[in-house]
Amino acid sequence: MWELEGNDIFLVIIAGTAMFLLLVIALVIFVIFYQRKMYKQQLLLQEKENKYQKELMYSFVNGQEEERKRLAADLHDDIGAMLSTIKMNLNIASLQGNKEEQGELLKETRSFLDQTIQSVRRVSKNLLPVALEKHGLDTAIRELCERLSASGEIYVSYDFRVSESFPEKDSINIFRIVQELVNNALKHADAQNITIEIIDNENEFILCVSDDGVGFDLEHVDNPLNIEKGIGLANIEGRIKLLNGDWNIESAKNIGTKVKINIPKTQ
Amino acid sequence: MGLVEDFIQYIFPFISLILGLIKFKKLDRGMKILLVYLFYCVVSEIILRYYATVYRNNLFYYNIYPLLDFIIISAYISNIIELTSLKKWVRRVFIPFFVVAFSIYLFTQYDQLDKVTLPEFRSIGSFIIVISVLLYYYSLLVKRPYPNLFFNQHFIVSVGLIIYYAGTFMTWLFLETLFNTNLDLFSLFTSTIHIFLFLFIKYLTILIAILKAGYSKRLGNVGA
Repeated sequence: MWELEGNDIFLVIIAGTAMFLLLVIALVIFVIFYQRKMYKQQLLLQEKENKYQKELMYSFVNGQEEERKRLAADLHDDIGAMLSTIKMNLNIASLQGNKEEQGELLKETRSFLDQTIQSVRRVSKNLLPVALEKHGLDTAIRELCERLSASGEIYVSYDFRVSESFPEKDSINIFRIVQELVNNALKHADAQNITIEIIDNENEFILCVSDDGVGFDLEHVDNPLNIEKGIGLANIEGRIKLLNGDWNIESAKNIGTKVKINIPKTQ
Repeated sequence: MGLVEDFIQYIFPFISLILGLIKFKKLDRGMKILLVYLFYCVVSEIILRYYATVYRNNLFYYNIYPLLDFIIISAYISNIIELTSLKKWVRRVFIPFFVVAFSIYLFTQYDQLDKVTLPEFRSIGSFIIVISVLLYYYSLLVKRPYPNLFFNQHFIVSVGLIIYYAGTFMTWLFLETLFNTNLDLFSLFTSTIHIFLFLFIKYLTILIAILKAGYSKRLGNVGA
């Protein structure tokens, strides 16, 4: 096939074979080492994922416990105390001989009962907003804003402009996220104004909550799941993950905080 | 020398074949294809020896047996490749290519089959097998990581195959020239280096794979 001398052929075959072999052996070694590296990386990633899932689960359990504590405190300190007062008033009223004083006492008791009914409604709304179930997310958040603004201490503006409605199953998570962010602004940021905006584009819903509060150091929320730094953000993170979304926080000292959450429409 | 040569050429694949048959139930489809390959190798070697002894010319069988050799090895590689698209590539492109290329050789050189060696087909075939093994490695890299590739019996076989076909590629390329110009070199490359090095490595890796069969399934290293 080739016009070569015996010695040349020997050299060509030996050199060619050696070159081919070196090449394939190098490739085999590369595959082995690269595979091993990939396996180690996968293990590491899996470990991180497990840790993350564990922390997420922990934050959810803690969130539930916190919610129960809040409910217990509401029942005990507010409704429980009111009911005790009502009972005491009724006992006094039953022993009261003077009709006029008895009437006054009953009037006062009726007022306590009204307050108790209000408290029960408040607790119940906190547990599951009736508006959310009956009228949807927009109305529920609007009601929340109105309730907060009604106190006069803070003004909450709200804008809801979406071209398609939220999936019903996700509404409660969005509502809780808004509730938690507003709570944070009230409790920690000392904000005067809060703006809630929900808009959408072709692919995603965008939820934006900003305030003009004291802001905070972003370094402290690098890992929002860190239990020591509070569970509020961990709960938000957990709910965002459930919605397959992602989020971004911008905060500046004494200027305010802006939280932007993107939730894909197809999950 | 002759005894060792005979052992590597006949006894070694035969022992592997018998061991494979004993462990047949533990073998996956890829390993079963390898058993067919071993059977084909043993039978081919016997036929080649028979022609050489009785007719003093075994060129005819020597020229035609690589076709099935390449097809079986390609079938094996397509079976162990972990990406469906690459499996299809080997099945729908490489195997038909062997048949077409060989048919062209038969058509153009049918009168030369028992007179000269046909090294081009062997060279091209070897090259394509090397490419197929590289595709298998690519599929290994992109599909999923293994804790240790040497637990994977098919990877061990693939090392043997790539060393064999890459190592003999140049020999096949110059086979006819060697045969016509320098019989000593022809013998050195086709017997000594080919049999004592590359053929031994190929059969050894297949034997190791057969012995390992059934032990590595727990690790998920069974290939396709």
